Amino acid sequence: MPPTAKIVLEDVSFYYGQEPALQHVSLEIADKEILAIIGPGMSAKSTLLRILNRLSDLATEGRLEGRVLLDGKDIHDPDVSVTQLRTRVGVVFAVPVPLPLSIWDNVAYGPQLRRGVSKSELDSLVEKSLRAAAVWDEVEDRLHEPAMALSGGQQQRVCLARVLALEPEVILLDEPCSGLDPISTMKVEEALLTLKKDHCIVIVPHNVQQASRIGDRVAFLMGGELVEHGSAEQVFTKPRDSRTDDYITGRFG
Amino acid sequence: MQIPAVPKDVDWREFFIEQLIRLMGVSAIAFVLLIFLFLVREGVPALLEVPLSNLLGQRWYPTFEIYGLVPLILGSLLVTVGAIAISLPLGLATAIFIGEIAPEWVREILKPAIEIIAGIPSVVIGFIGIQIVSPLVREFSGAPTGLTALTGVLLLSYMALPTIISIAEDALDAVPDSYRHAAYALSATKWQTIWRVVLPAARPGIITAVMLGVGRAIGETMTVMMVAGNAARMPLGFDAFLRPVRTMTATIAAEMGEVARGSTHYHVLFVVGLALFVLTFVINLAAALTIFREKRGGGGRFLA
Ligand SMILES: Nc1ncnc2c1ncn2[C@@H]1O[C@H](COP(=O)(O)OP(=O)(O)O)[C@@H](O)[C@H]1O
Ligand SMILES: [Mg+2]
Repeated sequence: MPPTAKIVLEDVSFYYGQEPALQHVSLEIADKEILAIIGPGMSAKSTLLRILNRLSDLATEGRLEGRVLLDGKDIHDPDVSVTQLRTRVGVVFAVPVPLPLSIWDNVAYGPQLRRGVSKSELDSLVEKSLRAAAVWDEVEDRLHEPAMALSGGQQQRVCLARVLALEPEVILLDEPCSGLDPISTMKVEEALLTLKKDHCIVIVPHNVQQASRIGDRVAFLMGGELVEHGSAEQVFTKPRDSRTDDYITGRFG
Repeated sequence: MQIPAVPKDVDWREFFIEQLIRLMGVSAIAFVLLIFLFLVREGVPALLEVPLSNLLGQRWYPTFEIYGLVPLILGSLLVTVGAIAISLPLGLATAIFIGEIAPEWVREILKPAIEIIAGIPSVVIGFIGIQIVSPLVREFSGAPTGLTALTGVLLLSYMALPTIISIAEDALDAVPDSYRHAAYALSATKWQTIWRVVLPAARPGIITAVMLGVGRAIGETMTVMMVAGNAARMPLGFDAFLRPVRTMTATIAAEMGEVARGSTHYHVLFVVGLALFVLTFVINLAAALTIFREKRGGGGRFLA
C-alpha cells in the first residue's frame, strides 16, 4: 500500500445515460507519485480522469456511483466548491487548448479568477509556472503574443504551465504527449518527474513505453473495469492478470 | 495512393460548372457596382447644380431649394445608434441565454419564435408603433407628440433584435466546447467562462451580428417613416430623442414619388441615396477590417 493516499476511489461507477462507462473501480492514488492509467481505447481512462476534478459533471446525463475522496473528503459533498476543487486538481488535455488569449493571459487565467492577485505576483507566478513546464526559455520574449501561434509542443507545455499556475495538489494529464514530437515529449516527461516531488500526478500515457518511463504505479483499465494495479515494476514484469500481459506484450511487439 | 484519372466529359462538366459559379459570383459584385454607378450618375447633376455649401447645410427645405443633408444624415445616425444601443445588449444577452444557459427544450421554442419576429413586415410594426408605442412614449415623456425619434428607436431596436440574436448565437455555437471545458478545468465558473472565454472567442461573429443589425436599422424605411415624425430638423441637444426626426430612407421614400424626374430635387434625392450607400459601406468596411485584424492576431482562428 502507498504510504499516503491522496485520492481514494471507493467502488466508483460512471454512466453516460444508460451506458455504463466505468464500472466498480476502487483505487488508492498516492501523493508524490505518478500513477499511469493504461488500457485500450474506450476503456474509460478519460472518464476516470474527468471524475477526479468533476469535469464529469459537464456530461449531459452523466451519473456517478460510489465515492471519490480527496484527502479523505468526498469531492461530491454538497459543501465542496467545484471551482475550488478544480484549483486543487488541475487537468491537461490530449489536444492542447490554448484559450484565444496571449501566452501570459493563458497562464494567468486561473489565478486571476481566484483572488485579487497583484500584477507583479502574477508576473512571477507566470514565470515560475512556465519554467516548471520547461517552456520558459522558448516563450520568454513573446509572452504577449497569442498562444495559438506556438507550435503544438509549446502549446501543450503552456497548457501545463497554465495548470501549474493554479498551484494544484493533483495534476491530471490525458495523453498529454499524443501529438508531440519526441523532444517535446521528453521535456514534458522531465517536467513531470520534477513536479512529482510535491504533486500527486495521474497520467493517461499515449503508449505503454511512456508509462514504463515515468510511472511509479500503473493501473490497467479495460472495458471500464480496473483489471489490475500495482507498482510499475510489478505490472510490467509480473502482471497478475493474463489480459494485462496480453496488452503490454502486444504493445511491446 | 493513385487518384483515378478524371474522364474527359466529367472534366468538361467541371469546367462548365466552375465557370457558371464564377459568373454568378462576379455578377453579384457587378450588380452592387452598377447600383453605385447608377446612384452616381443620377446624383452628379445635383452636385453640379447645387453648391456644396447648400448640401452641407443644416436645413432640408426642398420647396425653397434648400437641400442641407446634414439633418437627414444625423437623423439616420441617431435612430440607428439608439436602436443598436438597445438591441445589442438585449440581443447578446438573449443569444447567451439561448446558446449557453437555456435547457434544450427552451432553446427549441425560442429559436423559431425569434425567426417569426424577423418575418413581421415593417408596415405591421409601424402600425403597432402608431397604435401602441407612440401613445406610450407621449404619455411617459410628456412630449407634445408620440411620433418621435425615441419611438423609431424602440421599434428599430425590436426589428434589429432577431438579426443580432441569431448571428450572435451562431457565433457562440461555433466556439468549440473544448474552450469551455478548458476554462472550467481552470476553475472558472459558468459566468466567468462565458465572459472571459466564449464571448472573446466569438467576437468576430458578434461584430458581424452588430453590423447586420446596423444595416437592418439604417436601411429600414417604412417603420421610421410611420412613427418617427419626419421633421427634418437637426437632432441635437438632450431632447433630440423626444422630438420628431427624419431619416435618409424616409426622405427618399416620401419625396421620390412627388418630384419631377430630372429636376434638381430629384437628383438631390439620389445624393441622399449615395450618402446612405457610402455610410453603410464605410460601416461594413470598418467591421470587416476589425475582424480581419483580429483574425490575423490569432483571435479568430476557431471561427473559420
Ligand atoms: N461525453 C460523453 N458522452 C457519452 N459517452 C461518452 C462520453 N465520453 C465518453 N463516453 C463513452 O464512454 C466510454 C469510455 O470513453 P473514454 O473515457 O473516453 O475512454 P478512453 O479515454 O479510455 O478512450 C466510451 O464508450 C465512450 O463512448
Ligand atoms: Mg481518452
